[in-house]
Amino acid sequence: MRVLDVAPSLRFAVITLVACIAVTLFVGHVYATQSTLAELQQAKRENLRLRLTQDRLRGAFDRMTGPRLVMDGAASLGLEESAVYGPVITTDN
Amino acid sequence: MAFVLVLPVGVFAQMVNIHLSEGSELRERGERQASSFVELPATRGSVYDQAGRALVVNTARYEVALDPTIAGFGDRAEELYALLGNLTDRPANYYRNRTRDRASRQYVLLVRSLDEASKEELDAAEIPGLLLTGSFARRYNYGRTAGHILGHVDTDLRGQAGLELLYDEFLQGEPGRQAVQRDRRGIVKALVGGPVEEPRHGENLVLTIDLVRQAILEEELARGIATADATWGTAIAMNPRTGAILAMANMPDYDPNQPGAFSDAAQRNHAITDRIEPGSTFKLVTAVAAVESGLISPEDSVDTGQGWAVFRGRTMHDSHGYGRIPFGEAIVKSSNVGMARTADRMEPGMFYQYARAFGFGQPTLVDLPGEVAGSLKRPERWSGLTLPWMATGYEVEATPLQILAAYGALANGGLLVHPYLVAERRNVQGRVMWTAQQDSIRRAFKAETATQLLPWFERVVSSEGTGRAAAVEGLRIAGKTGTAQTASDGGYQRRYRASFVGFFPADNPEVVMIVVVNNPRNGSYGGAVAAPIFREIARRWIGTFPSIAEQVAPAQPLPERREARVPDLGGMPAILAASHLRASGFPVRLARDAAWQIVSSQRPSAGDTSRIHDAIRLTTTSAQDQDSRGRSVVTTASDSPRERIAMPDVLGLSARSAIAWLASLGVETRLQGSGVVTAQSPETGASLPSQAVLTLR
Repeated sequence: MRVLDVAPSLRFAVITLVACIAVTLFVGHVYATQSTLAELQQAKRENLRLRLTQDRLRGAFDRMTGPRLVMDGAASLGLEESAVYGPVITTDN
Repeated sequence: MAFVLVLPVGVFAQMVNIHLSEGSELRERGERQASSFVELPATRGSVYDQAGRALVVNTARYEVALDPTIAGFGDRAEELYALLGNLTDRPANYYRNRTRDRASRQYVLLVRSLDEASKEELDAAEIPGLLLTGSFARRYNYGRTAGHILGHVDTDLRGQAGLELLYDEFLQGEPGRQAVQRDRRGIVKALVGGPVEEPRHGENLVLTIDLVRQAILEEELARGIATADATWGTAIAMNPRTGAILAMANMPDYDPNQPGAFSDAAQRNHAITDRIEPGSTFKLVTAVAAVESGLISPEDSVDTGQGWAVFRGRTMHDSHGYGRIPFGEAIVKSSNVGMARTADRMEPGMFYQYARAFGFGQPTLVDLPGEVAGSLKRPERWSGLTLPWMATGYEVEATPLQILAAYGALANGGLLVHPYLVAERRNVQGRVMWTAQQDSIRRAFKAETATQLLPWFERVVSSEGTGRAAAVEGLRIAGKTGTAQTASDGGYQRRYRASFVGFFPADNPEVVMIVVVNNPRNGSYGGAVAAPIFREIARRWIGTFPSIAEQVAPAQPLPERREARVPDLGGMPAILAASHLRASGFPVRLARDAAWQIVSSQRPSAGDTSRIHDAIRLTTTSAQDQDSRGRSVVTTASDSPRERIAMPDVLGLSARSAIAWLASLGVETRLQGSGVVTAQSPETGASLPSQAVLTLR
């Protein structure tokens, strides 16, 4: 005969305790999930902000190295653009 | 022990009690919470050129407001006003007055749109009371470049012009939404398991244009318009086989980053919105109709007389009298009389059908908003003068793009193609959602007709033709000049519209291009005003087409270069002097630590001719090694002859290069603006100052 069968009230207490622990764990899980979700959303916002920053910085770089400024710069150095004769050299990107 | 046993029972009893007594109210409140949504913004799609360069992107902008009642603000108010004055183009006093005269006690809007870099400076200042609200902004990375193609958006990021307007539906995307929990203070918290609709971000556009070609086209068009002192000009280039537009520009142009700063005239895309009388470029239609209908062959002669002819009481003139010439020669010489006399023998209905087949009187359906159809009267409405005059490009109106498409048909063997600018639409993951179909609209005329006429249009760009100024050495070009008097108040005035339309290489065309210059005051003929612009663009574009560059060859073998003129390098930093020497063909060796030392003298002197394998010896402000292999070297000097050095020319340099150069001369630099140096004080050649002011743009 098992111990819990001998004392029904003890069995009830153990079952109740287990149920309480389960509920506590569930509530904890809910809060943890909520916190993770909040962090995920914060990370998404940060990701978007960084993408926008990258767009801005890359745009500034592209503009500074864009053909209009490069051509102006080359012209100010005295370089002249002209037709190039001879075999074409192809380079890989 | 009893407490342990009773507690769960009590909890359960309370649960039942809540369920029965407050259940419905709590359920309703829960639903209210669940129906609280926040918007998940969709990002607007970007625009790329055909090489993948980002032309239009999204950035962040911030609205800056202030609650002046927050403790601690008063002590730092002046600091804030000064900082905002530096970050924006308004004086500090503006913000001081705005705060003082605010309508609300606790709120005043100070800046409507602040860029991210400025916002970071504001953040760093940590001034209490500031309220910053972020939103998206649109950034056109290359400013005015391709402005008329890209268009612009309004403050709500809705397309207002160009591709931004036409593709607004695809670029915009659709915002998502998410259920959230709000506590009693209104603070939003994530709701686990709540419904989420993810945003559908806008699609990206990949264009057919190439940024480098576009920049060249714009630069040459701007130069040509300035030289001709014209009111406006437009240029378009297209692949004649596919209809892909390679570049399109208008002058004056505008910056889509600040469209409000430009007039409507500057924002006008003349290439598709202006109906112009084509003038002699329309003779293509006459030539095709006459040859294909069997009325005449290019070799048959036509009498152009003494350079004038009378049609039903009205006289038509040529610039010269050519007498009896082959019909093809009438194309080469752009003889109005020859064309009109030939067309006058045609049935009006047939001529009309050919003009329609070329697409005149109908929009090209290019993917830009605001395109007009031009006008082509039906034969019932023609007068007795219409046919001979239309044969020379009057009494018909077309957009520059329609004329370009017509010459595209000549270039590709008779097919009228559909011009387009957007090659692909891609989603944010890069997956292709849509690709432009390369399709011809119709066959305008037979390929044999094109073959017959092509040599004559090629001769237009020869020493005998009106378009000789469009010729590029080693490149076969075919085309046609156009000079049309502009109509105003029901009559023609002594104002002209000069144009040139052509394609290259003539034997295997890859580019068809039109240049239109309106009301030039220096010159009036298409061959004198528009053809040189075409030539310069074509000459510089060759390098961007390897397949064309391979075919291009100089008329004569290039002589081996043995000597070169020595450039003037005095006062330059060694690194810049080295660039000049390389550009002149001299090999260079430059010690790394000599880069920013100033050249004080050189041997041989500037302007002398030197063999390119001989050393050019430069003396700078400190010792450097000499090169034993005879390359140009930076060499020795013991002192800095500051008094002999004048203020250098730093225009066009970046701020960094200009500062480094001036710093090496001991000149302190003050900068205004950002970008490249567009103005300097003192000017080049003045005595070397202790401080210089550079304006950048």
